[in-house]
Amino acid sequence: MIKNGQKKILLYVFVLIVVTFMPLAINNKMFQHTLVLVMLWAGLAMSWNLVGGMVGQVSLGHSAFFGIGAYVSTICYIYFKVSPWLGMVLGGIISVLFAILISYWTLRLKGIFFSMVTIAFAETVLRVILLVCEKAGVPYGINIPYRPSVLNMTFDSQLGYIYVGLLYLLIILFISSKIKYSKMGYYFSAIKESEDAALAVGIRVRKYKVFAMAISAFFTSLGGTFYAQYLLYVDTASVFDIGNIGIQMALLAIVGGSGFVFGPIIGALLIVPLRELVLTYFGGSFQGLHLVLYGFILILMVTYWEDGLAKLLVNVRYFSRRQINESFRS
Amino acid sequence: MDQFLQLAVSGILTGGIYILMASGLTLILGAAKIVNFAHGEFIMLGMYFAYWLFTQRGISPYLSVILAIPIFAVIGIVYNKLIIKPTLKKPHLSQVFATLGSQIVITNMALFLWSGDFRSITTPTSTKTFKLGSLFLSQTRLTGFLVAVLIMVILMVFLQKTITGKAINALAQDLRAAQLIGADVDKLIYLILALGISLAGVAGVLLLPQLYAYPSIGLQFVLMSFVIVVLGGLGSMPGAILGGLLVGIAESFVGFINPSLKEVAYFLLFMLVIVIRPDGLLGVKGSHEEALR
Repeated sequence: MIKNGQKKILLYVFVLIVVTFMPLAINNKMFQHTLVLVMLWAGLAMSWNLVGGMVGQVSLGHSAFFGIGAYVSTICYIYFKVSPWLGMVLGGIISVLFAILISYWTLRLKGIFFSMVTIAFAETVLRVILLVCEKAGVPYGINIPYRPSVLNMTFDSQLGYIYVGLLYLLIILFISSKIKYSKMGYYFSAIKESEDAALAVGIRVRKYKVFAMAISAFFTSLGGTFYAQYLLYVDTASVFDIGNIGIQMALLAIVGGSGFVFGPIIGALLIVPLRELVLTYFGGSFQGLHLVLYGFILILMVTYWEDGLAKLLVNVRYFSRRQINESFRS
Repeated sequence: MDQFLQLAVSGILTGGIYILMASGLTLILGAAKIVNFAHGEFIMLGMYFAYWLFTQRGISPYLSVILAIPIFAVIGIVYNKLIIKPTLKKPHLSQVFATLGSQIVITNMALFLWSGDFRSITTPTSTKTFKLGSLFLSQTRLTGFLVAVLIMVILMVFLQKTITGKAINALAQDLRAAQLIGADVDKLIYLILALGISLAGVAGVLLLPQLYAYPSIGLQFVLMSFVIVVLGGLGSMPGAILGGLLVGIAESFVGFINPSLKEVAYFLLFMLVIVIRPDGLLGVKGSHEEALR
């Protein structure tokens, strides 16, 4: 008899094997490209969820961290010949510093005011960077030289990116679940439910808020670097774009289910391919249509299904276990 | 000194229209406690409304304003029914994302229907300037300012002298208490949305002669409106006026020093005010707490 716990592990291993070998089997470029994006966005959405879903601090300005990651690693690589991997870490550190700054600044703010400041923050970062670029003579769109090697985080085939993306996703997934089911995770939940009650019970709310923002920013930043190295191009306005990056991270997490660790993954699995499909078929002639679809999905989801899609899966699992137990009794 | 005055006056004139933008939002946010991320989109729609009327029918924006008022009021009512009402009882997050989703939908529908090209109009008075002493006042801005002032006066009279207006004030001060004394919150919220969106549309119409319209301008507007509302104090009309003027002036001065820093100026201002004085300069003490309930 296989025990329930062992069954779970078997399932995970199975999924892992499938995900690892599937890219090798399917040679379709479009598929592989979408896969890379799905993994990147799943990771980004999970990073957002650390602070947005777990602590309840809805940050709509995460694009700032993404952009910083993309920018720092690229500048370091092009102007200072530093490997993107190191640039990535540096970008992460800088993002963390900004995260701590903005988190401290907004400690007293709740709800919508917090969100507004994150937007203002992201916009400010974008404008300042644009200004600095102008003064320093850095082009608004930077091309990254194509020198494929693992050291340069550049690969000659999609496969390299797929596996790095997979690694990214797995690391965040692991850390996310570690946090969620630890003391810190329960503190996060408490803060989300009621900050005042958490304070009353003795939880150091400030410390955990700042910490959550910092971790979230770090991983978002890593994603930014990965994205830059995948596209081999950094367009300033795009990587710092609040709508396409910052809000999308939140959207994926919420549609997938921000209450669950794997919720954002489901959100990414659904939305990213949908987006790519709409972009491909409608991109040129029907500009913006995919975003209209997005907007509608978002409205529908928050109005009728706040728990997200992940709730569907959880319910299904619960139901079948009950069915099994009941069939044992009769 | 002359330059200083010139910049200040320019700022005040533009600020007049910003006041209109923000007054709608301060009503919606302060009285109905609704976070309307899509507010800027209605301003954008107002701009396009004026644009099409002008280019297709030759109607001056200053006349379109009159048409815009009822049309946008209806839009506000529909918006309430479809988007706002369903999410009123839900967790705060739902409302935020519902209005955000609306923002995304409207902006991209505009992009899809009208393309991202910049649209601007030139009216017969576009280039005329008045000379007042040593100052030059652009006629376009002056007219826009005067119309905005007129509308604000009417609005404030309504809010302070009529029963319905006072009911709206009551909602802003304490929603539950207002309910207790018999305010029909449901109907009032419809009215507030109708008024707020109408003001946004009107602001857009008045802005067209001064700015060019493009689908994504909405985001700038909504952020600016939030800044003004928070600066002035949620639900406070005098606050919206002061905030609008301040932002207009700040923009004028900073824009002179470096155009790219215009937005940074008011964002930094926003981030400062919200932490140091979240109730805003003229807001009722504690109104920001109230807004979160």
